[in-house]
Amino acid sequence: MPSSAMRHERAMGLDLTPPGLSAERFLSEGEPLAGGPAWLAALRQQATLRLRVEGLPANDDEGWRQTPLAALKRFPLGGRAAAVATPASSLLRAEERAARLVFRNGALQPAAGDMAALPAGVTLASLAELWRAEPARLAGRLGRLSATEGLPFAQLNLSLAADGYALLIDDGVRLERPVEIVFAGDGEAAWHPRVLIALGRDSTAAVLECHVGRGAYLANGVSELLLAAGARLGYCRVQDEAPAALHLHAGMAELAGGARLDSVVLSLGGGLARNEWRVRLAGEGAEVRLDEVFALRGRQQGETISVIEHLAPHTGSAQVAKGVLDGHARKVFQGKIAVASGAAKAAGSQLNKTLLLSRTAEVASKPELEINCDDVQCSHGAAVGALDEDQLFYLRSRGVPLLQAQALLVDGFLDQVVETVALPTVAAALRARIAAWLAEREGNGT
Amino acid sequence: MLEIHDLHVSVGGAEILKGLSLNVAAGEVHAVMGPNGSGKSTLSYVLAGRPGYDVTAGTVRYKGRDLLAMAPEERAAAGVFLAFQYPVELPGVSGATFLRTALNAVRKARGEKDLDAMQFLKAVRERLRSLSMTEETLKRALNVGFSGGEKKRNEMLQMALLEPDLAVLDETDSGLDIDALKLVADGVNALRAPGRAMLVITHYQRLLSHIVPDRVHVLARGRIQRSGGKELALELEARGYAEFGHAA
Ligand SMILES: Nc1ncnc2c1ncn2[C@@H]1O[C@H](COP(=O)(O)OP(=O)(O)OP(=O)(O)O)[C@@H](O)[C@H]1O
Ligand SMILES: [Mg+2]
Repeated sequence: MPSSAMRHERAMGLDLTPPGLSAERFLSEGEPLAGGPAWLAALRQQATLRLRVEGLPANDDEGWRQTPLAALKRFPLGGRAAAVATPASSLLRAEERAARLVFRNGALQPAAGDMAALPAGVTLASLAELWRAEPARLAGRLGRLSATEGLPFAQLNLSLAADGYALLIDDGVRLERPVEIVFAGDGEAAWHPRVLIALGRDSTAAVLECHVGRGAYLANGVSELLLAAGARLGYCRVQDEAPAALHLHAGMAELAGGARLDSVVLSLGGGLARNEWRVRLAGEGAEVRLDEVFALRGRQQGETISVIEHLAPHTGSAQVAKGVLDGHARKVFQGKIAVASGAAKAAGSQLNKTLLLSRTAEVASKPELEINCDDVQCSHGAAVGALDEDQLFYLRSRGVPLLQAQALLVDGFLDQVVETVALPTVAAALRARIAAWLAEREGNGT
Repeated sequence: MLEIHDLHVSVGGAEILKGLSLNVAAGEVHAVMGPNGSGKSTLSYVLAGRPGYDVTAGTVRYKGRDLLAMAPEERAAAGVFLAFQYPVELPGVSGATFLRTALNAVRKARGEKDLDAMQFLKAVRERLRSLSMTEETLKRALNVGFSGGEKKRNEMLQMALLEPDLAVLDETDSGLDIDALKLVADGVNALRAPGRAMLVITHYQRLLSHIVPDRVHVLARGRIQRSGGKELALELEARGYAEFGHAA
């Protein structure tokens, strides 16, 4: 660990400059939304203070060694949401979704939303609105997971978040169609969208988030997912940020007994994209699936860092990441499965498979197991390789040009993850976006 | 149609074809027989353009063009088709996607319009029926988990759809049951036309009683050792390859 003790020492008079990037620049330029309940203000103050003391990470910090942090220094940090004219794209047709919210540069665009079809027992609202109007519904939920974790950018989000959304589902309510959320970015700005999804007992919901944009911006999001006993959440994120954007996201989840979270991330965008997961399987029989499909090119770097804690018996976790890297792209995996002493019969698996389409692309994979219980089953696997020459030749011998043959094989490879997505509409949306990525590649003739 | 002259080919540093010459005129069907390891598949791969096969000397002309200078996909577009001895499995790629992509790629290269989903389905259904195959097979990943015979039928389905001018069949009869053999032979015979030529590699006379060849060649030790009419196949079946010095 990069010794926070050492940092405290510095703060106590030896050296007041944090070793990593200064958070001050963000803190002074960001514009958090004023107002809200006192408990929230206190949480935010705490986060700010902690950032001032600890700073943002440095490359010698555990977990940040592979990240080109210097890039962060170049980012414009003005937090003001600019007026944006680009139309929000939608991955789902109106009749396929339960509702839609659109944010531009972090700010809600009420006119672009569509909340008509929400059933009773379901609240979908701007977070800022809720914390002004009904803060009691957020108390004990908002900030509950992120405040304790030492994730610096999640602290920054807590400190500066101006808006985001909350999806609150009452006990036993089943939302059949997915909720679609679009985060569109444009131009030079930074925003810190915050998401709170809280599912009551035995409730069901599905969310499709789409992150798109153009220009060089910083999107630093945090999602807190709280699943009560028996709840089921499908959480799909299409990360399709502008190529020059910096996308940071921390997903934090806590699952009570018998709850199930199925998450899939499609990682395509961002010059640098870092996706952190902190999942606590707190109740007996809770299960999580964290899947990812990635396709990166040029000089893109993607990072997936996960910590899954099995805290109760019969908990299960499964992570499958499959993707392709072209050009000079890099992908970093760090996955930790921690099994607590009381978590008998826990099962955890981690698998990542990468296809390299160029000789200059790279992947680094660092699995970690921390097992304090005898009766568990944990596994991890990582595979890296090129496309199969025989398969390519077979396709070409049938008249399919090389690039198209590659696209077909890559598509088949990625679809092994997509086909496990439960909602057909969401799977179709993912397929369409993957097909577009492959078509762009073919079009570029690279 | 196909003129192979003094072809020398090395694979992994070893010379496999050592001066092979062979001419197949349009409208003809030629059979190539020969012992295991004599270079029959090597010949078929070189004709299809598989990477890793080093042509160190010789020429191959197809419809007057230098075949060896063409990429595999160009050869396919120009009408060359190889039915693989060991068809390749494509996990994640359905048979339907594969066929439609291949067919439209070839059509595009020939300056024809893409078939839409309906036209494609119609074209495939006809061929499926004549090969006694079901539409279900098209939904599965191509060749994945297929039996040996099913894979071979799949090859014939592709050939029937792509309607090549030069078809090279590498042991398509191996692994087929008696009824399938008949279906495949019917498919091949249906494709016979004055403008088309075929090279049928086989170990068995049986196939050749269904697909009667114009010429039969014996490939051994990297060259065509003997050529003759269809009766040569019968003679080989009776006497084996001992007189050709067996080893490759
Ligand atoms: N990659 C390779 N490296 C070295 N030798 C190879 C390679 N591929 C094939 N060969 C050799 O080339 C020779 C010819 O093989 P080929 O597959 O063409 O024979 P074949 O006539 O088709 O045999 P069969 O009747 O068994 O199908 C064999 O001895 C084989 O071992
Ligand atoms: Mg062979």
